[in-house]
Amino acid sequence: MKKYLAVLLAVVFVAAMAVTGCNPADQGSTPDASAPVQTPANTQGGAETPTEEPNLEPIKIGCIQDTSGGASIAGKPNEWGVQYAVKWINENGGVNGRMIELYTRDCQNDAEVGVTCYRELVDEIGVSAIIGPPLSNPASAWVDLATEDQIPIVGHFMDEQCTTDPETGEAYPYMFLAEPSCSVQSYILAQYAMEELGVKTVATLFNTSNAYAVAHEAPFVDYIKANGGTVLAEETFTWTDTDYTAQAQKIAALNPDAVLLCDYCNQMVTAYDNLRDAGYTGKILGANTMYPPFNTLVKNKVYDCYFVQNYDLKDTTKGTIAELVATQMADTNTDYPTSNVGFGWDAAMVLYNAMLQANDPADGEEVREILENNTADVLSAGGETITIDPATHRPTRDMGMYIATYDENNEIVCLVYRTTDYVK
Amino acid sequence: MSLQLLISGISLGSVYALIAVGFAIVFSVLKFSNFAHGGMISACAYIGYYFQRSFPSTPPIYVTILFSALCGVALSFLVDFIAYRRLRAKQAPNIYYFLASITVSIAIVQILSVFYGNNLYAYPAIFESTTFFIGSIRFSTIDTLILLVSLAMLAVLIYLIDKTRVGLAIRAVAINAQTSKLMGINSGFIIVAVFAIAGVLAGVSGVLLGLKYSIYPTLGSQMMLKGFIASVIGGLGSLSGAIAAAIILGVVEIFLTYYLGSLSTPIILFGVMLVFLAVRPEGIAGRFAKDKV
Amino acid sequence: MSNYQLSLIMLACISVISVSGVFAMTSLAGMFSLGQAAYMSICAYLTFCLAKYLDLPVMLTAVVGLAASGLVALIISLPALKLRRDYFALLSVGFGEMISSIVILLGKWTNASIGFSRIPKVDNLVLVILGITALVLFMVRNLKRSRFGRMCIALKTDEIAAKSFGIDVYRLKIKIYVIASMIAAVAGICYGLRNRVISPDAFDWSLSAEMQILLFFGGTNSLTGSVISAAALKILPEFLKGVSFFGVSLQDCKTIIYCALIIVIINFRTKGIMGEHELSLAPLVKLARKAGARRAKESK
Repeated sequence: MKKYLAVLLAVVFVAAMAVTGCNPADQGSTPDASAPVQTPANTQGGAETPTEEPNLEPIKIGCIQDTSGGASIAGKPNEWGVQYAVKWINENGGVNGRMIELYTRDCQNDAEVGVTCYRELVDEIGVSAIIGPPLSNPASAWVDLATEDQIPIVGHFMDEQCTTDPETGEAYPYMFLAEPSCSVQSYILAQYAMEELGVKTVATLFNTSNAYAVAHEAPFVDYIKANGGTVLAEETFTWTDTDYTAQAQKIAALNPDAVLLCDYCNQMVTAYDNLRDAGYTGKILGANTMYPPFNTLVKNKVYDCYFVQNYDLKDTTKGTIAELVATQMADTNTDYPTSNVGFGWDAAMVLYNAMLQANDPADGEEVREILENNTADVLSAGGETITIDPATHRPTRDMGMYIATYDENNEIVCLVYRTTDYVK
Repeated sequence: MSLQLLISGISLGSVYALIAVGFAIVFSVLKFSNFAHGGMISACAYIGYYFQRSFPSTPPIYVTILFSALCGVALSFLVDFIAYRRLRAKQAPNIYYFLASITVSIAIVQILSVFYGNNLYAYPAIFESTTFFIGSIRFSTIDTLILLVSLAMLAVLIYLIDKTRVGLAIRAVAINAQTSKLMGINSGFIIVAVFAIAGVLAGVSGVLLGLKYSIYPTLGSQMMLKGFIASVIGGLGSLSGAIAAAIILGVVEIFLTYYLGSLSTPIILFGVMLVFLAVRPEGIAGRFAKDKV
Repeated sequence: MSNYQLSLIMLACISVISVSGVFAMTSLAGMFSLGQAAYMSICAYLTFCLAKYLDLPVMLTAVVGLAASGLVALIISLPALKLRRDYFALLSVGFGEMISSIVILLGKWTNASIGFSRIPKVDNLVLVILGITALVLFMVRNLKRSRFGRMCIALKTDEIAAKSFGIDVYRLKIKIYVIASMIAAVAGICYGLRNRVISPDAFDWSLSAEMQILLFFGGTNSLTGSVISAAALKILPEFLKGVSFFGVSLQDCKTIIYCALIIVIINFRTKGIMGEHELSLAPLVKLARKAGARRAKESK
């Protein structure tokens, strides 16, 4: 008897889970590719009337950012940038008269939460496209989902593995990157260091638990090795380490021409201080997270720092970035300018450009097609142009990065805008 | 080089020690690892920072530390009031304290990151240079300060616990709360005293860690694991044991990282802990008060 | 039913599986661990990496992964369970750290912190996961009621008394720990199948702590309680999306609300929401039997 009871209990549990109406017939069918398309917009729009009546239903777009997790310091301005861009688009007539409705979700820098956010946006809200976060872990979870559901995702997941298959090199059909990838950024930095700074020997100090850092470090090392430089040490740390003195002393003893730091701001600050404390006086090369507040957070004097920047935040003559940053700082009570505002703007603009060209901007497949083949010369926040390479779904190599440094007054100065053609 | 590494290890250990003492003092009486301590350290770092910024000219650092310590005490009472008081009244097993403390810690970190997480902050530097030399050995200024403060606080605490009546009562409650109650010790007051001490420690550590690193929500909680390890290895509840363990942990970590790399460190550390606890289950300092089982 | 709802069900199920593993360990044997997520990691990585590199079906590699997790649990528990409970908790933390380090060290195969992605899609995944959940729950429930489970409870209540009754405490603990770890391993496979990506960050000690919290929230002595809390608290944040309160988006505050809820339950209902009660069908069955009997009488 007891055994039957137990079986019953299990069955009831299953039933309870399914109580909201789990219909087995549903599940066999292929994923709801039609779901986003079957918004009221389509059913009302074309079919009934033979003459093309303008469809004024709003277009739903999702935005997934980390606004409360470990990368929220980048995620919040990113989200703000998307919101601001959508406001701008709507004030300027929307997508051929159709307004954009933005749904923002918080993925907490967690792949599991990211999948839930994705599913809700796609299945419940029925978004036509998603603007993604500058994070690789959640993004790599969507690679196949986006293809199954035909939802284009435009974002700043800079790791190349989020846009192309590392084994075949083919682009994932629905993933698009709107800034130079980690690899390209590292190549630009390494090239600048070798050609302009005369760097011959380097060391790296990075967080192996941080995808962002790993994705920067490997291409940097590749470039240096391939171009006749020497990598003296690749020192690592993890999230639970709070002090990198041992690694810093090892590097200081080797005394390379330059050291690459490529983590989030907190870790960069500690790494920089540890290196200088250990007596290292050479050049420090940084990823694009070395922008302020790095200069105000470090305890040592900031000198000989060279790092990549997506935009020249102070240049008021080019692009909208200066205005964006000023508005965001006033809006959200932020103390210093953040490039991430521009990331959100750029991703939204790349998507907007594709939607403008589409007959039906809510059709994921069509928008994807245009994103892949017809995304050319979209003006970025920094005043550069973004042209998506159909082969990689990343900006073509004529989109470059600024090399910036801090001057004697501890102010950020952009030195030069560079591109690279280096391919591994 | 080894001497330099040793010094660096002691410096790192002193940071862990600061946290481990906060753990140990609560553990000695309440028999649970107060994970909320990490969150409180973060909160105190923010409090100290905002306090400093609210003046037109930066007040001296000891004023900030004092203020932060006071706020730490208040915060400590608040946490006790919200999360532990009722558990104590119910005489709940200490696993519940443990869970409550983890939850409080997560909550504090989240509150900080949602409401104050737009910016990263740093205290203005208090020393001209970040390092100084004795002979050819390089010392980190702030780490040295932290080590001195940890030792000073330890000295004060040991005096408090060994020489004063309150200390005697704390020891009595630590050994057996029930019996000491019967002996006329107001155990409620003792617990309040312990939380006050933990609060002071959190306040001081918050500002010191803020001086060493920058201020961000997970500043304190990031170190909880290390503090936890040190306080347990040191001998549950023993203050000097916790400090000794923290410094040993720092030194071992620095040497392992230097010679084997940061990724192998957790693997070896795990093995060392396993062997150490198997060989000497009472911790470095010996059991402060024996459990029944 | 939309894929979103299905994915929420899977989310809840994964949480239920992992918490029921912790239930076996903590509620039955009184062990407290902050390293159970490491077993999720071991098994998930083994399963999916082997499937990819040796081109084997996931079903097969899952068995290998489970066996390996069990073996690791056995090896770890042999020395660790001889120690006091506090030390055991401490070691479990160190163990979790160690596993994520190893995953990163083996980055050539595991793709390190970038995450092992592109886990193949499984059709009708929700049914598979529901089935696994039901099976695991059935097992744990039987475990609780078996002689084995009663021995465990004796051990949890008083180790010395249990010893004096001739229970081999040490062996019993090892058995339970291995079982609990294998259940966590199952949850790891489900995690990978649902999210299609696994990364070392995902299985850190905070996930292990979350499992323990969910267990205590529902009631340590109630399997149904912990199941309900595991499922409900995991889904709870979904209802806070898009709601704004005094200009603060509740979406960002979900963790704070979640923590507040836990503190309230731990404080005001220390036994957990269900206390020692188990939801059971017994009353219903009784009712049905009565009705049946009555009908039988009437038909006579």
